[in-house]
Amino acid sequence: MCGDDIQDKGVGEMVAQLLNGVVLGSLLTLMSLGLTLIFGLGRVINLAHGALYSFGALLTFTLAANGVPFLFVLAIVTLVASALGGLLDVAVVARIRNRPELHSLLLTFGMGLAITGILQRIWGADPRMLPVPGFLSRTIPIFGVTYPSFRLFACVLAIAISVLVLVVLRYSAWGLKVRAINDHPQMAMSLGINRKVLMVSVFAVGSGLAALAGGLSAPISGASPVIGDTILIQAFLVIVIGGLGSVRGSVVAGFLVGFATVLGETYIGGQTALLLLFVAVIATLSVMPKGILGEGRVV
Amino acid sequence: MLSTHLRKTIFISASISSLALLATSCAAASGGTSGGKSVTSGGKSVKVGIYVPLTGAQAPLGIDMRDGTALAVEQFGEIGGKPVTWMAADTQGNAAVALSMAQKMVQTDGVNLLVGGTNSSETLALAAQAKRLDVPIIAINSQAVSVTGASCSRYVFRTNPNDAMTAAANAILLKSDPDLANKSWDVVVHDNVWGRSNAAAFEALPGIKIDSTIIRPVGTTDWSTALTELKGNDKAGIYAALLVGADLPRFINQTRAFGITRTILPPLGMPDSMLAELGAKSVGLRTGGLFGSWMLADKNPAMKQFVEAFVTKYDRVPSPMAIQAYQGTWWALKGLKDSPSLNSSDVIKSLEATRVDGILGAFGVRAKDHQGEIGMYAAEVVKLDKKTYGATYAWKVTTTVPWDKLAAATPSDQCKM
Repeated sequence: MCGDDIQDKGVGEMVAQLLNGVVLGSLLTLMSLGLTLIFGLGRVINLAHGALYSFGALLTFTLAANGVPFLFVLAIVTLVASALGGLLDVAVVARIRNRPELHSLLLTFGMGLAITGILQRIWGADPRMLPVPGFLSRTIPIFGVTYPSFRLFACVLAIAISVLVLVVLRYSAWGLKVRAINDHPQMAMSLGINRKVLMVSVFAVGSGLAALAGGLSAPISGASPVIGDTILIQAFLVIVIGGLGSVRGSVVAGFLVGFATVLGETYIGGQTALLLLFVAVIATLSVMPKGILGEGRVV
Repeated sequence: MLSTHLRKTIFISASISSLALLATSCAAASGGTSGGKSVTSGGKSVKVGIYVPLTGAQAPLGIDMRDGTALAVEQFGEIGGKPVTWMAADTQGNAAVALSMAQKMVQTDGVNLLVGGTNSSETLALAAQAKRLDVPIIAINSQAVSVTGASCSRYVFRTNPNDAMTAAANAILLKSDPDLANKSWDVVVHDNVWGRSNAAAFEALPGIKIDSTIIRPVGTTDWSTALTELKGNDKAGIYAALLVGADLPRFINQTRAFGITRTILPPLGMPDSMLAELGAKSVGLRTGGLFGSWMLADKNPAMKQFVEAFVTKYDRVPSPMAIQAYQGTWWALKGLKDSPSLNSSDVIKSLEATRVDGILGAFGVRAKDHQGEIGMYAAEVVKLDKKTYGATYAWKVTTTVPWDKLAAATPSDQCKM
């Protein structure tokens, strides 16, 4: 199970691997933010999050294949997924609000299966390869290595969106209500904040972020009905290590998990790296149940 | 005792899950394109049960195999005055599910023959219970040597080449092509039994020079760490023994995105649907272990007939897996037809003696281990001058490696039936 020969690693390769870590971390953060928001506000562990990522990837493929400019595609995918997420919350998830987390696990698991089945019905089982947009299809020199420009673009955009989410949460009226409900649900509701309505918007935003992560990743990893399954596991690692419901914790943990994955794959082997990440999760739950920043919620 | 609320939640979740499974199995049974529908008619037909993944990462292969098998069944028509029908069960690429599905098809649906096995673990799971299932099991894609080797069973027949034959065929390619013979190689494989045995077989080839071995789990979505290691070694080739459903096309796509233009050699080739997805990035791929190519239709009237029927029915060219599935199923149905009864012992004896002139030429199995006596093809992906049968990219066969050059790689004495 040992990884590749550590003695042959040059500085250039190390720089490139660190870049890989930043790229993976940024996409994981984007994916995990939505998951954290939904849990933080609604105490819903959304196992359908991966299916929404897959939906984003597949819709991105279809729109791009029909000539829609890539940035417009991402915007459309985010809006459509947000609308879908809001609808799912109103129609399905709202019915198990205020119940133990086990209920949301079961329900969203079923929802995820349903969405995946529908995706396969519409798009088929074959994985789709999405060509990188022309202006981003080259490799460029950066920090002494040549690196695919699309990955850098995806990383920068993911970080920008994540920062935007943090800014909105910090400074907007909507963000204030979300944080209030997150911190003190009873007090916030007694002050007139409508949790039901807020939850719809949070589920919508979370779904949009998942689909956006899928769309941004599609030119890298391709698109298929099951592409979200793997990253969902990584996203759950992130939110546990970051602290359940902690947005800042998710951001930090996203990059930590990204770097750990990349460096682990390179120096100790893919399966071992994943094993160590799960060990980190167990350690976090045992020793730091509120996550690395101590801001999470103990379930 | 469960609370009322929890019971309601479980009910809602189970309903949604059932709808999902129904949607998926409806898609599976009727096919992703214009595939035929399964028909069962009680004891009044001869039934073929197809065990392949129709959902999940290996679904593209499973669907190709199902479609190739279904076409063979529908064209074969009847046996002993009874229509031949087919039904497909989704194994999800999981051995335990494959066994459960096989048991259902045999015990409840009364199938007379099981055909399938996208991965060897599925076929090995069925082989372990073959006596209880008591129907012949035709593996049309399972490649682990042990299927007709140490884990052989009198009930199990393999119509596709095995891993040892693939390694031998690729060795022949490397020896015969000076450009490839002088290269050193980076080996990229999965962290599973198939991947590691493939790496071992390749690295054991006489005279081969290995620069590095990179191992990653099945389902790897981001190959950046591996590609960063591979960058810079421009003279070496890349031997990529990865699952052809999603992992291999994803790896190739990302390799080219990293600006790596080196020769990539997937030992088994890749389905044509994936060539279409990759487009120009697939051009130049080489393999020594292709199961078959629709481009053989140029020289083979039987293949041409098959390709035209497949394209008409499914609106796409047949992949190597679909070609193998069709040939293997046709041979099996001939064996069933020539058998004095549908009793498993009679059918097994008949299959051991059956030979056909199939779309890939003369075919039968070795009686000692039930390994199909079948050749392989060295090929290279080319862009066609004009679209043919709707395809723009295809595997152009450069050399045919006949069975007699591969037989020694897979001795029959490992099987003790």
